[in-house]
Amino acid sequence: MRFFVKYSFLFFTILFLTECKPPVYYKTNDTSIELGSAYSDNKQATDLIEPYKEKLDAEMNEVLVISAEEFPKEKGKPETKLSNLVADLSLEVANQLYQPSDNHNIDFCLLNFGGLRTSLPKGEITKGKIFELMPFENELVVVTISKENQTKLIEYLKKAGGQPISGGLLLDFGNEVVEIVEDWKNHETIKVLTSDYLANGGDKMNFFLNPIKIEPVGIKLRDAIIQYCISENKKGNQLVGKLDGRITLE
Amino acid sequence: MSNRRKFIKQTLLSGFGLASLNLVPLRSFAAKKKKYVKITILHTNDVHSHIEPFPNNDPKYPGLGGAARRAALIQQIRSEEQNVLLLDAGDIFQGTPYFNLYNGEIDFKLMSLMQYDCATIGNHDFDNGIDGLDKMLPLAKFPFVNVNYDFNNTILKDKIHPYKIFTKESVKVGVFGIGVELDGLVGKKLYKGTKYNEPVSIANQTAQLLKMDKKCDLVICLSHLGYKYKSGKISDLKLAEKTRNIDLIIGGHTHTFLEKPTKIRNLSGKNTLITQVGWAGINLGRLDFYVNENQNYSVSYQNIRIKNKSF
Repeated sequence: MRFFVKYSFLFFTILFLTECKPPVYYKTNDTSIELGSAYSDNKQATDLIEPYKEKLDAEMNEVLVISAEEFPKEKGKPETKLSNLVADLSLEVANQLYQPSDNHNIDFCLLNFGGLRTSLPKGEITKGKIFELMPFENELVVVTISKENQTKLIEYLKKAGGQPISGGLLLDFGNEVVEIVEDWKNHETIKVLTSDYLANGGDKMNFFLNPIKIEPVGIKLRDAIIQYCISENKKGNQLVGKLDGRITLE
Repeated sequence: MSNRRKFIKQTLLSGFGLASLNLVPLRSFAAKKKKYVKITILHTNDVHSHIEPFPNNDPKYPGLGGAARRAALIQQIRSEEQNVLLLDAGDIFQGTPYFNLYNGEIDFKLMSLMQYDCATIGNHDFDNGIDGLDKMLPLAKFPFVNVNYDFNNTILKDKIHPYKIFTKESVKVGVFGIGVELDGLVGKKLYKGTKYNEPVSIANQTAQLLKMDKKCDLVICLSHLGYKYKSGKISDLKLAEKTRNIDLIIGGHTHTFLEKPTKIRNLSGKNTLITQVGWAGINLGRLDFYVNENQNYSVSYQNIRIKNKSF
């Protein structure tokens, strides 16, 4: 055999009767089969992939930074090390680029879990890995929204069970405590850094629709991540995870 | 063989049976009796441009997947089985730099090499715009099906089929496609004039057409709706409940790793199976339908993990 397939012998049959005759029955193999090490790749396919891979590797295998730990993509948590990292760095990079016409700086960053597409491993972080994390061509934008929509935004975060947000604000939904930075309170409007995808109502972020103002930051979200990684590496830093309870549900 | 037949008889009489058995006796039973035609359905969903396996240092899926290994596995199954249908439930595009650099070119070429029979369109297949999808379409040597997107005011007009019928030996298999609501998921400037229609009634009409008028023995829905939601949003589970004449829903979108197909009682009180194999080409799903003359069948299911580890 060209490759061997490990069969698990845990087969079972469920039989049931329906109105019509003869009855239909289903047999389910409840376990998966794993391809063994003797398995060889399809030659035609590897030949097809090869030239694409060479060109891609030349660009994507560049190591941007070292990560001190894993940043797993996790579901069902209000904040994760990965979401905090990306939201915080987006705000940091955007603050260097964004020049407000009205002395009102960005209040915070809001992204979405669905937009963070993969985990970051411990160790070398390549450019290709950042492309996997953020494959979309989404641009960072600053959306100015009303106080009314601010309330909707907070309600949304509670209902959604969290989304990636930058630090500096505290949303404790269990105790109904919402602490926001001073600057934010002093303004009639708030400025939220997000992606153009979400600003257009993606992931049901309807509070972004009909905003007071949308301003492009001038950088793609992915490029912001890449830029941050390179700059941290230059400073001699590694990526370190942070969980600070910025959103809690209970 | 006689033992096998006896087993079936006994379990039929008892009405409900639970026992250990292997695949092989059933296979030979079907072949020798010529009473059944075996149809092997292989399926993927949400491959998301995962051309290469995950790297060995990936926290969740180290060394899993890879198109070349999937191609070899499919080739192997084709050499063993007469009637193979290879299907994909959408989101072929987007997820690795292969898409950012090559825009889906290599994805469609590889799927054509693997001889995919049919695929449906996922929301991320619009990521380079409907024009981006249209541009790559000639590279796909297999048809795309969708019945609830109205492409009449777009560049894809007449290029996407509502359904396809495949005849394997004497068995007719009808395959149609259902797509997820694009509004709020895909930018309007990307999907342009594509109109989304509510899926349940269209799925029902199409399944009835395939089963009754076109006399399909098996009706398969390639769905990119998603397996289930906490909200009332239409999902594969709901679609199965609210329709008739669908034998199998091959799902996608929610990246759900189902260990085995979910069995749902449909509107006619018959069973609709739902399956989905996660994402990124980590698993290949396999269902073997043994179909008899009366449009009745038995099914066996295998979840094949594409793995490169020695064990």
